[in-house]
Amino acid sequence: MERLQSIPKAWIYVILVVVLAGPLLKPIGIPIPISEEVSKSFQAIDSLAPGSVVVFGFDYSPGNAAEMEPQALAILEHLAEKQVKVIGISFQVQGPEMATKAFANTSWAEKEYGVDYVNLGYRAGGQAAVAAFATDIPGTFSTDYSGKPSSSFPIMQGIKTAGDIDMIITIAPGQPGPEDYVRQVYGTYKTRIIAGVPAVAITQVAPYVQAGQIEGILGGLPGAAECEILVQKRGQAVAAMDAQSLAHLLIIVLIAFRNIPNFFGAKEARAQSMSDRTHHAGRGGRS
Amino acid sequence: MSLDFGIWVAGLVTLAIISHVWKENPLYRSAEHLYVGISAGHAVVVAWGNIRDTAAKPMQEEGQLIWIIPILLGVLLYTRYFKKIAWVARYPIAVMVGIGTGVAVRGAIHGDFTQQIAATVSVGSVNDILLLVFVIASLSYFFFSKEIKGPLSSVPQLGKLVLMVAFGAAFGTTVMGRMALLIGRIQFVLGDWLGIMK
Repeated sequence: MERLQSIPKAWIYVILVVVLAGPLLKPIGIPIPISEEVSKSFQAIDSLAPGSVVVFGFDYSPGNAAEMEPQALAILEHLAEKQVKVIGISFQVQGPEMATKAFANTSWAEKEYGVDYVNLGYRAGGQAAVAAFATDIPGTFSTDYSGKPSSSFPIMQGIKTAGDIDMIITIAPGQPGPEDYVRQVYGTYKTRIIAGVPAVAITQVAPYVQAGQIEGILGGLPGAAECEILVQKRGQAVAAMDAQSLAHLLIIVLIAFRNIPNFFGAKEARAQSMSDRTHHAGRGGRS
Repeated sequence: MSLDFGIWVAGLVTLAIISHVWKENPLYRSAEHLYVGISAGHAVVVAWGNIRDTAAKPMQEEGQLIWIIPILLGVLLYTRYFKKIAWVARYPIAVMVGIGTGVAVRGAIHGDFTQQIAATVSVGSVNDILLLVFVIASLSYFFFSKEIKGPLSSVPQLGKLVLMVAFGAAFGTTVMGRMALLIGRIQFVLGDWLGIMK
């Protein structure tokens, strides 16, 4: 029992890396069911007419790209297929680079910059900047990422407030994130919102979906994998899901192994304490 | 195997960071400092770009002198580094706090309060009924004005249980997120760098 409790940490890391790398090198193909939230997101994007204008919030950074980027790429592929126009914005300082990379690695690379899509860069200010964006898009994002006036791009013609936008999609692991778009945009303009969030934020954003303020969410890597399947462009997320499932299984096994000795140890300690008490009572003394 | 210099740097830095699971070492420290330095440098450049595009250019090219006010307030923030006039920094901070609070409260009343309550009380399915019961039970757990006794005491107990389930779900998703980050790095090392993963 004691040996189970003293598995060296290094061994756990080695086992974890093997469990993660194995299925990445040789996929098993564990089925990935489509959740209702991702299905709703897909249907919402699918309902967009060609030429609709979508604001895409690249509100993530390299630190969380492993979880967020596959979501962004899958959704961008879907948007490209729907022939809508995409205005890329960011309220996260490293977001514009993520936007540049995402546009370059999807079908958007073949489309015309300024006409089909644009990268308006980053604006500081958090929730206050989201509020400013809602009421005055060209004023808040007066230039694109390279410094050209945003009003000079054909895609920006006729765009003034969030009311002129057909949908907002935000890929955000933190603040500003979907909650801020709900507070500052949805309340006034009722613009449709789709959110891509990390796994840890699913429980925070779920109430907004339940209330109908956000139409659908993609949660973590599973959300991205489901989206890739629906868009029929399997990529990084689908490839990672076997590893993710096996890692979870490993963690459950490790938690169980670590707690079995605790459980039996506690039982033994209780039994010992009972026997001590009986022993003392028999002698008529006080412990 | 990649021949891209940038990929090699990223791969080596990844290994340096992961080496921390073995023990604290100079390679890990160097990579950590590199990350912090680059992030800070990048943030300064982007912040300057923001000031240039949002305020400086409109002032110079279009004569919008109104931008002097936020620039001046921004400069006043630095007075805190001079003991005698440090109090001046309170004014721009007061403006920021005021605007931030105003914007947040206005949005929260709408998005987090009225619309959330309306959605919670509109019952149309078994799930909605469960949600309503669990919300009431959870809120009752935080009712401190009077101790809830008798048969009603089971309501806050149910709330406690609901909160425990919620915390468990949050912890589970946290583990899932951390695994995703590690998988991303392994995909990068095996795929982009070493080229042994398709």
